[in-house]
Amino acid sequence: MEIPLKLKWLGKETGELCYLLAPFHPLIYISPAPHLRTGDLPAGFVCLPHTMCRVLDLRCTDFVSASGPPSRNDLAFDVLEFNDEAQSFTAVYEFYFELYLKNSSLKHARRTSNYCYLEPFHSNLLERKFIALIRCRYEDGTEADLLLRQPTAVELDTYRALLRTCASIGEADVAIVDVLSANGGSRQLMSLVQRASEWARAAGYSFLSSLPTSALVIGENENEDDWTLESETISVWSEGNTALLYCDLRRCSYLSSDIYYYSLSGSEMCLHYVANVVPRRSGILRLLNSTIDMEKRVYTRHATVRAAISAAGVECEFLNPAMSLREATG
Amino acid sequence: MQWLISNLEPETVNAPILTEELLQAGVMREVMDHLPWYKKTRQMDVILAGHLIHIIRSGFERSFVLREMIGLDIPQDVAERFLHVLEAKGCFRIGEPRYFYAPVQIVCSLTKGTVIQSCYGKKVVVSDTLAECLRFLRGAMLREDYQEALTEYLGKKEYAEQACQTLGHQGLLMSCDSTEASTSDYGALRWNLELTHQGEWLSEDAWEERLNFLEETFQGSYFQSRNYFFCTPIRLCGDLETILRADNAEYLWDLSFKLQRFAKQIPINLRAAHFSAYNRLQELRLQSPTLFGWGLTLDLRQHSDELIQDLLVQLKKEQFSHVVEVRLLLDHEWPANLELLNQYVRLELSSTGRLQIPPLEGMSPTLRHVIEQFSKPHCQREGCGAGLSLYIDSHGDIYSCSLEGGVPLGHIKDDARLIEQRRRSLRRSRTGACRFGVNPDGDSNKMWQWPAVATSRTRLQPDFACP
Repeated sequence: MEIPLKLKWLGKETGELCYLLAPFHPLIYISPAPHLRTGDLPAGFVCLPHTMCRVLDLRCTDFVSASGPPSRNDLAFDVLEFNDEAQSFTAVYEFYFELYLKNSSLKHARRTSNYCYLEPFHSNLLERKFIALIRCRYEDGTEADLLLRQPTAVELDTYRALLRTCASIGEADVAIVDVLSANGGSRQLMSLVQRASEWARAAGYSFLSSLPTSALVIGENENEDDWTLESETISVWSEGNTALLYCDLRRCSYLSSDIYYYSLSGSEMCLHYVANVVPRRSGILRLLNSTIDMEKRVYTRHATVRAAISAAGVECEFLNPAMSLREATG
Repeated sequence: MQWLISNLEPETVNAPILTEELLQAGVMREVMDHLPWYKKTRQMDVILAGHLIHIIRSGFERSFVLREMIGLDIPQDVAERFLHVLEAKGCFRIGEPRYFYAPVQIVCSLTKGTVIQSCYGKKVVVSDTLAECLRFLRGAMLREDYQEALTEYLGKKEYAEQACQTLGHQGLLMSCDSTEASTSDYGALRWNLELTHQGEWLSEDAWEERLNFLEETFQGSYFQSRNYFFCTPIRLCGDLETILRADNAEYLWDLSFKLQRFAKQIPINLRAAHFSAYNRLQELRLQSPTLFGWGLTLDLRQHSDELIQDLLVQLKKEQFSHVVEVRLLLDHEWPANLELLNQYVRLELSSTGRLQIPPLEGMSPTLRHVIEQFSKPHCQREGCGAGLSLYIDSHGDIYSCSLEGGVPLGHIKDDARLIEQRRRSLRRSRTGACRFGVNPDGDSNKMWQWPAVATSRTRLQPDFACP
């Protein structure tokens, strides 16, 4: 079964269609969808941002890697700032072919595909959008690389609208982590991001942003290499298009991986997390701790997951009638 | 020659050396770090472990183990180091065995050479001389006796040693110190769950209890907790008449959401006594999700041929819109009309006794294939034995098998670790039992011998798996 079931917006008939499909699918996702008022939403659907990104405020938050092993002493970091010299192009192509392409083919790169990335990569390269390549080297070989770029005009508008700051935000204030790639099995990703955030701050950038991604996240180990979960981040979403989601929480609680999504009600955001995997394998706690300024709701039907989440001080809605009954009757 | 001998179960055949405890402790980490980049995909540690547990076993020759590890893209120095680490941990020792045996089946003769199927690996082509050397082995044979027989056949002692060496390097010759079957495993392979209770589908609460229990059980195992299964881990069963009376496709949709985390396909085996309402079953099958694979189980131990006749009548009316999977539960008698039934359905045989298989010659190739599958359970290494395919009845009681006489192991409300403990004790106490838990005593504790099959061109070698 395809999860989620992805549909196109078909106008007002979409609701009727989804009503017929809902008994057979725990998750139905419609994206993009027009911006609807709450009363106009098809029954059972919630509104989601079309895309969203997580932004680290470099002015007041330090990027501190809490997870993973400490950085090895024999690692060497260097920063290659982009200019018109041919050397810059050589380095970035070397990164693309030697590191990114082979590792993304193993599905280590999060939410990017090697085939989809080539066009934006060339476009950014030709438009001189790349800011710097931060490299992590070990024994003369590249271990991990991170490519920073400037925001597009559309992205900049989003940051301006939603990053609550007194000063106006310009192109030189936001650096976006366009791609982060490491050799399979490398545990140095977070050290690399830490080095990149230090460099970006020193270079005068105020914000370090992730790429815009879907507001619905499904998948095993999806949070494993997500650098945005290491520190408190601000959620920023595009205000134009939205998406619609039908989510049967009870049925989703039987899936083998975690699911979470950000629902949008007016300008208020809420994080909904269906926890199906024990927290040490999912990164739920890091996500909840790093997400600020919004309501967070966690659901699970697994007693072990609930126990682990509760032990970490997070309230959790229990979706297991048999166990609830057993607990109630002592 | 250097033969691996397990220290944990030195006296058993083909005991695993990479135990569940070692895997849980992260013994695979070093091997993972040294894999080439294209192998460092997600879940590779568990996939690699799934392959290595069949290679690193008591009774194999060291060079064969190394060669197989290199074949999995583990660099030679890392593979050698890994074996040293295991040896240093006391998991195995290198020694000379008491017996030799051949875990192989001779598939066919070619013009120059013979195709041999090892139950631990791929098919290999060996020279006719080596194939003949394998034919000397009947079950386990004393090492000296075997080498003497080879010397007599090949003419020189050096040739005999060379033949042993070649066969050992290819994994076609194995060694053991006794013929006891190993009792180590990696948790229950399959859970069979009853679908109904007192003529009704199981309630939602009953399913919650079962799911809670299964999840807890799966968490305790290295492979199952990582969603890596050697066979479909869940099978549903019920009575055909009861299921048709309860008839509710919506229920099955809801159930599919609950069970889809365990497997991509879940078989439903229905026990059938007669087939009058088969049309209704067809409808139910079409209305229910494709997650479920519907099949019939015919218990022929009492009813024998009547059930086959009944089914054949339905089949001849062409009322089936799909190929029906039929599992026949047999005792020792070979039923009549099996050849005819095999023309209409996809057959699977199971036997609780020593099934008397008639001569294979003259049988259709498809039926011969069914028999070959029956005689070679898919997890021949450790997949067959008491406590590997457990049964949860309609009350939530757990038994070692779904047949009468299954050993009770507890209830789903009990601690999953306790049930696992009892399961392991059961396996240890019934080493020779088949997956149904029967034949636990006497000779069956020894290496299993191929049942009485008349000579045929496709000659099957004795093996220690049970039917």
